[in-house]
Amino acid sequence: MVSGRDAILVVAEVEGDRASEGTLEVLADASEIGGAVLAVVSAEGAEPPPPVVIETLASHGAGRVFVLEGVRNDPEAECGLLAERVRISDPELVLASDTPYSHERMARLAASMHVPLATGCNAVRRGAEGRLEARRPVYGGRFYAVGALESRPALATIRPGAGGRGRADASRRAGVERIESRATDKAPRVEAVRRFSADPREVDIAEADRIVAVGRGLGTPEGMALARRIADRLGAAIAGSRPVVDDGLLPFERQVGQTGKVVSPRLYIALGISGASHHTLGMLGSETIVAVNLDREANIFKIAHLTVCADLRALLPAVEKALAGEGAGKDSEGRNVS
Amino acid sequence: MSGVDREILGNVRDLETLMYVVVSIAVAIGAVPFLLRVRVWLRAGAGEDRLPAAERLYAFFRLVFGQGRLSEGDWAAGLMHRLIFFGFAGLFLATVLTGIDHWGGVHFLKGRTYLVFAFGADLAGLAFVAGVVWAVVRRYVTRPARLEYKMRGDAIALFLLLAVGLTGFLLEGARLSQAAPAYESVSFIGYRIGFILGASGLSGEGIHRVVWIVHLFFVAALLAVIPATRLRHVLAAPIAILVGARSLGRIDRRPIPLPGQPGTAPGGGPFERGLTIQFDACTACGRCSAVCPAAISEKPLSPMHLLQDQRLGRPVAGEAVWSCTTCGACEQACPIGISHVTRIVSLRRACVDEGEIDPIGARGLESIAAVGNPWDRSPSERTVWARGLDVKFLAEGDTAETIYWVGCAGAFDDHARSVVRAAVKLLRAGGVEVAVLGEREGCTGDIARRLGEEGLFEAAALRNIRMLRAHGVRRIITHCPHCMQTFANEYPRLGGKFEVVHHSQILSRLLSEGKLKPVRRLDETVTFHDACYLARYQDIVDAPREVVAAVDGVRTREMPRSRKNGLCCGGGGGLVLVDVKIGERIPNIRVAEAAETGANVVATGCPFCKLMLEPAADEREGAKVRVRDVAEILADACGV
Repeated sequence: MVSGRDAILVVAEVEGDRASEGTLEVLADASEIGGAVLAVVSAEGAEPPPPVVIETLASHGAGRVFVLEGVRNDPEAECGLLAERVRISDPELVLASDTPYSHERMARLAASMHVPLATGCNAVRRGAEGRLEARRPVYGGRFYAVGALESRPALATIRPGAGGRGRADASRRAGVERIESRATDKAPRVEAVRRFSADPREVDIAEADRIVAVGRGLGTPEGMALARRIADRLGAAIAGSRPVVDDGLLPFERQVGQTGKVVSPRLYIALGISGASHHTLGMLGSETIVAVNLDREANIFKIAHLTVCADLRALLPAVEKALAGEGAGKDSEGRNVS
Repeated sequence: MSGVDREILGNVRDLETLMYVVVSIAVAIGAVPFLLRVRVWLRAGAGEDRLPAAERLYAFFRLVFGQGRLSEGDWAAGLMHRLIFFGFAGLFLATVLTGIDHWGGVHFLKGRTYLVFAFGADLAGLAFVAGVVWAVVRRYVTRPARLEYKMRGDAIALFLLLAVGLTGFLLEGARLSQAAPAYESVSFIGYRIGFILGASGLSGEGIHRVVWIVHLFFVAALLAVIPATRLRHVLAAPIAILVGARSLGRIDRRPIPLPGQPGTAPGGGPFERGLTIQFDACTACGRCSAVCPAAISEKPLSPMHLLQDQRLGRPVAGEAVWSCTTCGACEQACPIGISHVTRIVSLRRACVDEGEIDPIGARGLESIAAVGNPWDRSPSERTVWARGLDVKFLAEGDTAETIYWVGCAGAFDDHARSVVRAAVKLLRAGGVEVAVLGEREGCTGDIARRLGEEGLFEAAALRNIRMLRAHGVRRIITHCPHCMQTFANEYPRLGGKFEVVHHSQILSRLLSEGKLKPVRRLDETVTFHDACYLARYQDIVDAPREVVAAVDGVRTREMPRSRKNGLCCGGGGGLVLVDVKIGERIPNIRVAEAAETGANVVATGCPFCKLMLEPAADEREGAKVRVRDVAEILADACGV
């Protein structure tokens, strides 16, 4: 039995059928602080979490995993069970990744236990005299504030991507303890009905992972329709440069550039965009930029990671056909375009 | 010449008292609303950043007695106004002279003096009547578009002016119709009217007395309505210039509440004194709106309506406030020096205080606050432009008397980086070594100030002033007119005094001294687009033209709107960040104007102009035009 003293409890989050990236990062933080690491994971609906989730939590350092069962998509019941677990295990620190999911769980937990919650931290570390300290960005990231976490238990959420995940050790195993929700007749006051991912066609382009952006070189209704089909195939959001928006082919919310939205997707495909400063100032932060343009001198080629000098009207139908043949493979289409 | 004389009030001696009573009553009627306005003026606080007193006095003489700007862009209107102004002034002078002659104890209007006086008075009267008739024709017959604004009493005011002029001549005629001596023919109009009256049997004392009374009535009515109609500008405009004249685009920092909030009263309230008097001085002639790039491109801003709306305490639309490029064309066109830009910037400050700012503008401001440039770029990129140029960047503790200020556009925008590279290479070729601040540079605050974030402007300015002082900088060379405006005209108020030079000025000097020699012929037709902050704000119009003209083979063309009357590129006033999506795009209009001259190159001296005009040129159908800085053109020609 893991001793409660100096233990750290990680509230795990499941995405699809895996432990979320943020959860793994939080586990790395917990391991770094030291002490026993416990994890709590909720069963989604009636289903228990897949074994691979427990295995991942274990390989990333969780010595013991509590599975909350029978919470029936009722966050209130789930948090009640979580609070009960926290009271029993009496950990020094409860950590979660800073996500909409944990915003609700951790806030309910803090309220029911009458302890403060440090949200959006970059890290929690053990400082002088063994005290727990949370480091969080303030004033738009220009400064860090370091605060001591003095409550018992201390509660904090860590921003995804702030620390990176630790090394997994597949040989590690965790004890699993199932915790059943007590049956109750009361209808839940809050019920999570459905979880679903945002439709890339609807999502705010500032939040999109992949963007297909259309410029004047493809700025006709037909060109736009073609670009839309390709974007759909790629699960990308459609966007455009100012002239395309001025011509009424896209709404202003979809304008990328200094005078529109500043975007930083993982993949930015610029179709027929020459790359005026006003545009590039809005998309320079993209992880991978693919540019297709007929003009060899186009400014966009100076900043693109992959450049294709081709006639879009000839190239795109071929790309569309290739994507249709390939089915759902998603990660590297951008590169396949070449 | 003896015997040449005239008895004043000869036929109406008994009516003299009536005249003084009627005129006094009329003046009193007019004085009441006028004095109420004067009280409002006196209660307003004195403005900030006005011209020094001596320059205000100079502006007063130039604009009032010189009728300085009235013919600019509209010679006909200028001539019309001059006829009325000098005609009226002549008649007024004649009245004063008559009064002195009558009351002053010296009878001097006799002999040759009288003849000159009589001729001059008739000439003034003719000019006055001709001007007023012209004014009536303009307002009611030919109706130029800019005269659309109607004010209460317009028709009455014009009618009274005309009536005073015509009955004045009629009165003179009636007087001269009664056996006038032959020398009175110097009154070349009155004498003829008198002849006609005499010939038609309409002469005689009775007729003269009736006309005299009618004329007196019209004069009195005119005096009474002046302060209540558009004519009040004859009193308020000179005072507005004397009290409140400021250099173009200068900003008053006094806060003003948004319309509809407490403290906003029609016609005054929270504005500083000069701006308050301008409410009474403006005749809504519409010259400002006729040259405003926002109005020209059908955006919901008309400086004239904005001022009139403020005067009447009406709300001003946010879209109007945010459509302004602060280009100053309105102020340049205003015959009485009204400060439109400071009005709009004040409204923007009020909006920003309320959080009512375009989110894209707000993003730029946040970025200036966080990383010292409006594009959210890392300060470490400020040295990228110099790759391969072996430029010396100042480190902590280094000093340099002269620096080249790169600015945010020059540091982060590819199209402006090439301008910096060209300028620095040319300066070197001309033997001028400059130090550069690199990562130590931060936004001068121009954009923040024009977008209404005065606090951010001051923070940026103070930071730069401290930093420039620490490096012992006394002279700044820059290619950015916006940076230049803040350094030259806005930092001194915050304690930073530097000599500032535009790169075109240095390049033009190096050319004339023979230190730079264009060796390559460029077969281009070039038109120069004047940046507002260079031409209007800094009065620099010739230096960049000299740089272009020095290049062999270049043919130059001028656009109709050029020099101090140039049309903005659309990027001033922070709008280089925010695209106003109403009406036509201003840069498209400007590029079309450039192309119309037959030029294939538009030369500029401002990175914002380049940033705005370049995409517009790219998107244009038809003959291609390229947009280049004068330094880039000269660098090509010098082969550096």
